[in-house]
Amino acid sequence: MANQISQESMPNRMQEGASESLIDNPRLGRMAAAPEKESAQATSGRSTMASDGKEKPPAAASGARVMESFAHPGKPSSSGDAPATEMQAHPRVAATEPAQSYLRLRVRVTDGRMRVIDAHSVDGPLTHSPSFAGEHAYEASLDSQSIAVEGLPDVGVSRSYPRPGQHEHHIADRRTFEFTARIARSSLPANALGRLALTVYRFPDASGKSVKSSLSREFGQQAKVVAHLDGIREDTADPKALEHLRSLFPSSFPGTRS
Amino acid sequence: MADSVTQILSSGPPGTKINIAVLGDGFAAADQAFYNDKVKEFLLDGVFGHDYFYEDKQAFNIFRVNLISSDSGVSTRVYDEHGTPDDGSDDTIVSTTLKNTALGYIFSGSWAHCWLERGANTATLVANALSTWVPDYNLVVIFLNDPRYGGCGGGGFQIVPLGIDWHVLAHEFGHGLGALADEYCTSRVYSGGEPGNVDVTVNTNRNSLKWKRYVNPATPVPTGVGSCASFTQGTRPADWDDTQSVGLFEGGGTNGTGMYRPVINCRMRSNTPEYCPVCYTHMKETNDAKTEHTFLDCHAGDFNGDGKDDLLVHNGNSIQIFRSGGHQLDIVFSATERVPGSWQFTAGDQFFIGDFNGDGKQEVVVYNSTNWVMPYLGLLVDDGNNGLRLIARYDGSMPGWQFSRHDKFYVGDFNGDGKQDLVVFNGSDWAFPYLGLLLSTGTSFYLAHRYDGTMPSWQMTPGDQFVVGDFNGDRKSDLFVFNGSNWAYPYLGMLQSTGSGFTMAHRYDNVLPSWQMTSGDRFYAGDFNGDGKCDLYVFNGNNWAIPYLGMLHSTGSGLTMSHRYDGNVPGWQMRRNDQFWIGDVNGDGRADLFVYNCNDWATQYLGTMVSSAVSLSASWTADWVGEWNLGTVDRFEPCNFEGVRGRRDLIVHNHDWLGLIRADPNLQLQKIYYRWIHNYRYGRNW
Repeated sequence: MANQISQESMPNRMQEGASESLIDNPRLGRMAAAPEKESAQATSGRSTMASDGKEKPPAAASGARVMESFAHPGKPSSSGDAPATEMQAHPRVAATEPAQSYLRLRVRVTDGRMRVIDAHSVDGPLTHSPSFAGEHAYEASLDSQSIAVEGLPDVGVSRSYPRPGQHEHHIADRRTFEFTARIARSSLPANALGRLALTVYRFPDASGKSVKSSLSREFGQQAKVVAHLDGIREDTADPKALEHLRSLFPSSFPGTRS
Repeated sequence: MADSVTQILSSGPPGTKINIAVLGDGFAAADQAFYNDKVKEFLLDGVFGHDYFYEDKQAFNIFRVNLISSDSGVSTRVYDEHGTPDDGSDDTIVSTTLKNTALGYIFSGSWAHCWLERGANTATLVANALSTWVPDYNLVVIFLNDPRYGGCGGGGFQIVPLGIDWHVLAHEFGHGLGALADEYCTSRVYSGGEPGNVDVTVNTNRNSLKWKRYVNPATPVPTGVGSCASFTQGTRPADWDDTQSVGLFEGGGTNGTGMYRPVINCRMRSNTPEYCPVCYTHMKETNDAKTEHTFLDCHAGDFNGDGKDDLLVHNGNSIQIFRSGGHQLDIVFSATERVPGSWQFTAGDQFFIGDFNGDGKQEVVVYNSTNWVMPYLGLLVDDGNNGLRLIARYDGSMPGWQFSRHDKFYVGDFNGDGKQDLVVFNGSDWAFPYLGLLLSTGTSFYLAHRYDGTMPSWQMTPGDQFVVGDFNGDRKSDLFVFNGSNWAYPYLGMLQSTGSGFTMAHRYDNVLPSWQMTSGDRFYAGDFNGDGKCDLYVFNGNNWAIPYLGMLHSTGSGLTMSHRYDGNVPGWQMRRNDQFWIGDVNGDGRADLFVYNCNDWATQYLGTMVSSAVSLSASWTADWVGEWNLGTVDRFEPCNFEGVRGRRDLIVHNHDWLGLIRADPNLQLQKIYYRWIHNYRYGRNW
């Protein structure tokens, strides 16, 4: 026999071929075998539809929205209209999107030394994939807290396309390579750039990796430091990048008027 | 002509996608149209028109930058390679012909020099162009206006003349995006340790092989032994596929022996094949989050008219169509941002499936009243190439109907011309409710009749609910209308279509035959006795001590109760949160029910209720359907993906999973997919 529902526990199993009805709500009644039209209590204060089938035409209150009157046009002779115009975006969408932004840093690595060569603030949201592939990855951290991690597949090599009819690349390692770091502005206080650290790691393999906290913490000795930058300052950034960063993070540069 | 940028693939904000910046060098003002064509040929039609990149193009933005060079063509250089073309260190420059171009690249055609090299200011010019025109970039493709073959990749850059084809770029993106290794061979002998890339190995142990999940147990491991081996260990099975059947083949990673690859021939070996399962899955996993794909918004429809329902999946600004082969799905269409016509997809799009032009294939009506400055309604039809294109769009209004936020649409052939039409109802955005009959011409819709506030013998109110069904068997879809909330007692109306409007065939006030209507009644239209007239199932799980299910069969002008189930259907204990869908489980032409309950029991139940015309018999499965673990987040789409008689199939889906279930009448899982729809020859991606 099926169990009656209780507040304490859910029934365990549906009983195949159950012959008795399971009472879901004992406070309610059962439906009559042959209910009559007037058997139910009319909801207090509510009206009924016209019993003669002659519904009254609606009367809109003054100022209420109504559609324009419609005259039956009949079937159109022309086919559908291929639109000539773009669909029009809602202005408020464009107005709200820039509320999020992120910092884009172009970084050059030469012999283990890192330098910021370009910087931009990009409007819009930033999402980092929870996993990455490749032997290299960078991590941005602020006060030792990881704030951005991305894989850097394919950095540091120059690969000539195979000759026609062959498969082989000519591969050369680059002494200097560049990569892009992206950091949500929301995780960078105005005075943060001096404390912002960037580290490029190299892993023994290029397989996919997931990161939950930080690369150094999760991968330990497997993640070997290729290059490290500790704070963005005059000596670690090109003048043009620095100028832009000063305008974005004035408090990060003592002596800069905010 | 000034420099400019055009976004040619728009999938989302740059910070959420992989952004490809495309630059051109040596394209003068008169060459810009040629450049645009080449970008389209190589990237949109080439790389992103095929297999993996086609599927996942919603992970990418492409920005085409038009840089105007003073000269047409790029600078060139000739080397004397001194008979050692593989070694660039002893090469000497014979001549250099400089041109005034936007980026200053010099094409040499020397393999050992990466085919090309930078001019004195190239690095700065490229950096400035990118900084100016592309807000953020992950990959850069630079086309050189030179007809020869070549190309230099690495560090996120691909610099190519025009003599290549898109397959090479797709191969190079495997390096640049997925850190995939080359799988081609040379005469080299590898003797080192395990390589880090996912697609090459030195391990010949089946049990610890890194791609073991794709290797059929019947496949020998290793599968091919010897220099750059093919299938050498035993007889190659008849159904073996050199690019998709996975084993362990010696040669790879630019070595002839000592290192192994997963398949005989992958894109990472010879460019033209698709990625093998190992590389494909790695690319999918690496970039999956950027696609923002889920299986939440799914719609079944027979889009090619083969009798088997296909699947349309909508995600934000993309749609994909997966063709049913009867027992599995395969992608045939992937559109991001828009389809020609044009319709621009957004998250608020609502889809309605029907054969609106009577061609035996189903088309798509799409409506959006939330994401644009005005509501839009579009008609998408077969583009002749497995995809869709827009042939009609209504911007804000059509003659006689002004679209509004809460318009609700219902599909049916209301004039019996073989082309399905629309009924649109709006009960909340105006001074009083409106209902419009939008008839299809096959290429457009027109308003044939509009009801303002009242219909024949029916006063419309905001709580009106409509169900479509041909209750009098005249091949014209009719309407059942129910209102359980706005009046002193509930009403059900049977609105018979005249082809150009509706008349009231019967109105029930408060009671139906053997059924006391209450506010929680839910109606499902289907011809459960197979007489050609659409009947009604009615269920109420909320307003009584026990749940009730009624079978109200249509006489053509009214309803009579065939059977009422109080509390339980034989084989199914009804509960308040039972959910129902119409199907035809046994293909006898009588409408049956799928039923699901994920709320009222300790586990979830999915069942069928098969109609004998006057009664129902139920069966069910608990918790699991094959490998599918039923859950509260599951959604169901009744359909016929098998192409058999009736409508006995269900597509079950949630955020990450999609399954194909068939009922015969026992429920069986035919196929299950996780995160993406791909049919591996052996194994799977989880």
